Amino acid sequence: MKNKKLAATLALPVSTLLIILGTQSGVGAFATGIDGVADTPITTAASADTILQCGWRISGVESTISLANAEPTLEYVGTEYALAGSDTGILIHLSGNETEGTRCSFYNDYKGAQVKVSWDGVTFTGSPDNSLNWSVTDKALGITYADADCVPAWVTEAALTINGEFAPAGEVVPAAILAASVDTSEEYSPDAVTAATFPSCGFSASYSTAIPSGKTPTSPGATYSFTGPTLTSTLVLEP
Amino acid sequence: MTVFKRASLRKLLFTTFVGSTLFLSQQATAGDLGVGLRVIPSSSASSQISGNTKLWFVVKQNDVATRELVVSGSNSMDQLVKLSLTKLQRVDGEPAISNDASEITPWVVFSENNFLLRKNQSKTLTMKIAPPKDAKSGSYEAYLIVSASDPSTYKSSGKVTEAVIKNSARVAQPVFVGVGNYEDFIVNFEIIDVDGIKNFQDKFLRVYLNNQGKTPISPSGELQLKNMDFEQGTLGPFPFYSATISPDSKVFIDVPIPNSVNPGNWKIFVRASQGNVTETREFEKNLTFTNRFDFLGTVIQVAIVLIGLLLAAWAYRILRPRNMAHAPLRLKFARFSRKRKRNRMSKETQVLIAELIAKAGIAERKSAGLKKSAKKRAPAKKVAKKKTSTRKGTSISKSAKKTTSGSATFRKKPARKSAGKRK
Repeated sequence: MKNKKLAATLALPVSTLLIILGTQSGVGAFATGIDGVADTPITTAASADTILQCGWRISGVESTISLANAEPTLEYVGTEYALAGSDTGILIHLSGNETEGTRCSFYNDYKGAQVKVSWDGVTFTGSPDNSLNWSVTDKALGITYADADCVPAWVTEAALTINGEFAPAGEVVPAAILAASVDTSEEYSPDAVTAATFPSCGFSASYSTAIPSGKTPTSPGATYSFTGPTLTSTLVLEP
Repeated sequence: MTVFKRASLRKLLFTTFVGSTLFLSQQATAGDLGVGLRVIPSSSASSQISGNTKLWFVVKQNDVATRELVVSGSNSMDQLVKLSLTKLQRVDGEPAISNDASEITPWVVFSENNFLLRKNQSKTLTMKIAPPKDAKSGSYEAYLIVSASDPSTYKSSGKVTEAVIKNSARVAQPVFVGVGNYEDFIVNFEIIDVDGIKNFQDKFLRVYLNNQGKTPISPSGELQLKNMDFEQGTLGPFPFYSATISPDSKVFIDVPIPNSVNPGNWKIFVRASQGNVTETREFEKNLTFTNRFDFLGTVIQVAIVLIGLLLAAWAYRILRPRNMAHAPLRLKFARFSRKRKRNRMSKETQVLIAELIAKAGIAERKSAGLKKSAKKRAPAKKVAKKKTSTRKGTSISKSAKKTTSGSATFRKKPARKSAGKRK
């Protein structure tokens, strides 16, 4: 009985809150119901000029990413040796030609797009010999994507990391936009003749890995360089 | 195990200078890959599915179909461009790029392939598809891959320990090829229905389309409305565009319309075109603009209010004053707190009293039982225990009537009973 009374005492403010909450949202719904009575004027515009046909483009993908230690003079002494690098300024955008930001139109034939990043291997192969080779299963290659400047219609992975389960034939999708989102009046507005308002998306990629600890080089004193898997950034149209 | 050691100061300075210089120079020379693809719409009057930017072909065995493509390059470097066709596989219903070459690869010829595209340049190419005589009639899907890579080989400076990751940039465009008689691949779709939809404040007309043909379509069109209840001008046309509709599938497109389109009887004219195939249909509809979101919201609101009311009623039922019918809640609460405190005190006192009574009883019996034999003492103890427990229960049930409190084992039941009686 005592517990019941205690519960009832607590229930009083809760019930009050629920009633207030319920009636308040009810007012909101009612307001929605009566909105939009006024006539919407339908305006028409015509222009004899035509602009270029749109095509999706991917640019800013660095052909080679060099991963190095933050302290270039540091040498491998048998402990883990961190390596990092980055690629900033990757851009997915619409353009009428190879110049970025050239105004264009799909002429009622819209296409969505998405970026898929895939890789072809899991091993870092060293030079001058293979004694320090490692696989991403020993030490992961982390790739972190950061959305730099994407219009809201894009679905992006704010920070995405591939690590231990880095396997061939895998892929990640750092950014995607649906065809329906491309179809907005803003992009081809006659008022926007001086500035492109295309649904572009920019992002950066940070890479990190390390030479694992406990390895013995066959050529001590030599400077080793390693070649990792090739990454492919594919812009898939009409996903 | 330790194979390297820290460099001497001189070596360190030298390595820093050379290493950083070389590292920076590598960064500077590394160019940015970039690639773009545009498919030129076919201007052929007979084209039904090629008058757009999709790579859709319908071609007979031993015949040739051609489309033009524009490949744009990087703004900062020369690139090696390669075109290929890979399998389009469906994973969980979604198209995905396979690493295997497509079965239509032998039928396709590009005007140029594996070429060097200079920076800031575009190249117009042709893609010809010529299925052989023995090619099986049917639909084929693939991806056209335009791949751009750095033609130069990266050379490490050899001064800094580094790991290199090579990148390539690609564009993938779906390809549809219908092989066989053109009659088998005629664009065939119908406008099934229209319906009013309201999404919060915005109104839409939902146009349902059915692709009955063997080719994918991506129709565009427009709709117009006329009110049948009142004399009013025609509203619209309101344009709409569809994403790709696969063969033998139904889709709907939500076309935004002004809020001035009120519920009532409307005449709706819909027109949709794919290439040179145009479908029209007129509907007479009583538009209602059902807003599922609002309905759901209202249900939730009502449920919340009901839960609140029920909770309040229950709380009132439990806390309602019995002896002090009109006493304010504050007084009732104070009384309740005092009662609890008193009960807690009396509980301890009662336990002490019970223990003392039990001890006194035992002592009494001990002194009386000294005269009895040891054999007879044992059952006497049991009786004493039983008596004690009975006493405890009795005394507590009595006190419970006054205090409504109890010890863990003995007092709960009487207390509940007393509470029940009060009700």
